[in-house]
Amino acid sequence: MRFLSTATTAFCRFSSVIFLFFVLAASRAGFAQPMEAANEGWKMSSNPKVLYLALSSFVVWIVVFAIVFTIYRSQKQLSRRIQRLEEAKDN
Amino acid sequence: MNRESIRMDRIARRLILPASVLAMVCMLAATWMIFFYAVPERTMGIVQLIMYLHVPAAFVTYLAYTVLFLSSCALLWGGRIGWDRMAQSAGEIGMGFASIMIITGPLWAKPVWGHFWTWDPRLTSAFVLWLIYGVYLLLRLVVDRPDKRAKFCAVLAILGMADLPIVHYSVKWWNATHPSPVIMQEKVGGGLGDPSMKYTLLVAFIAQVLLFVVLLLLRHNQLRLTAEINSLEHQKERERLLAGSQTIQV
Repeated sequence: MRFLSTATTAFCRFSSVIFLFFVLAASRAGFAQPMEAANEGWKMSSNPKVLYLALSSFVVWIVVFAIVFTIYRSQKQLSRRIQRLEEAKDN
Repeated sequence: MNRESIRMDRIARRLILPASVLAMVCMLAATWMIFFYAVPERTMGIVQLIMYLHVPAAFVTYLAYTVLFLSSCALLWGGRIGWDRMAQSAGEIGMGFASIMIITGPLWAKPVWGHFWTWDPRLTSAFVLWLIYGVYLLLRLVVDRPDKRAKFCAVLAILGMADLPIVHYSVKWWNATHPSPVIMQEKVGGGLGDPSMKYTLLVAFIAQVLLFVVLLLLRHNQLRLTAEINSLEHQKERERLLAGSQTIQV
């Protein structure tokens, strides 16, 4: 048991040192490409690429509404349970 | 209701409504800016505007997992079940944002790379993160006893944290198809070329972070209420059984 504990501690320390090394190396290394803006006078025209953008925006709103709807439904159930408790208390 | 619960209720009541209104306004503003204000990138064109949905969603996925990890650590450290509720809320909301990240990424990739998905290190590790969220939520459904469930889920969340730096640094550690980060990279030649890009990204970030905070508060408050109602119902049931047994004795 003691050996297991020592081995786990040693492994955690060793892996955190290796991990820190990688993180430091990664944060210092590399270069990034700048994002150049399109030329002036560009227009949002109707083309297949707009579909991907519209779909992405749709996905965001759908997920947000799904979360809100789930929260709303469980809130309704909670309200019903509170009402039942209050009725029992009154009786 | 105990004192802590009254305090939490007061904080939630004060914060939730203004934060929800602000989050909705920011979300609408971000959507408007993406479609009508931001100038797209020169080579990718309009499809690059997906960045303003994908990058903030990825950031919120990290943020949610960090909340999940810290809550799990606090739970194992102190043993207060309140942290488990915070972890559960962060897990559920984080899963939503991770899904946004996982779906919008391929929608951006298809017109730029020519395919929806590739088993690139960044994509694979992000998919693993999404799976970790999924397994975490499944584990919550599978284990019945609340104390055991809290502990098992906390251990899983702590182990899963190892994936987060892998997701973030995978583009630097390995030769990846996924591009390196552009924002905050001015010193190494990166950065956004137009002020409209920066402002749109900033508003999109604020919107999604605010949305996360609002949903987290809402869900956490709801889970707290559920726990209180459960305990009241148990108490009522116990009283009813006790009254029944006394009647039999008489």
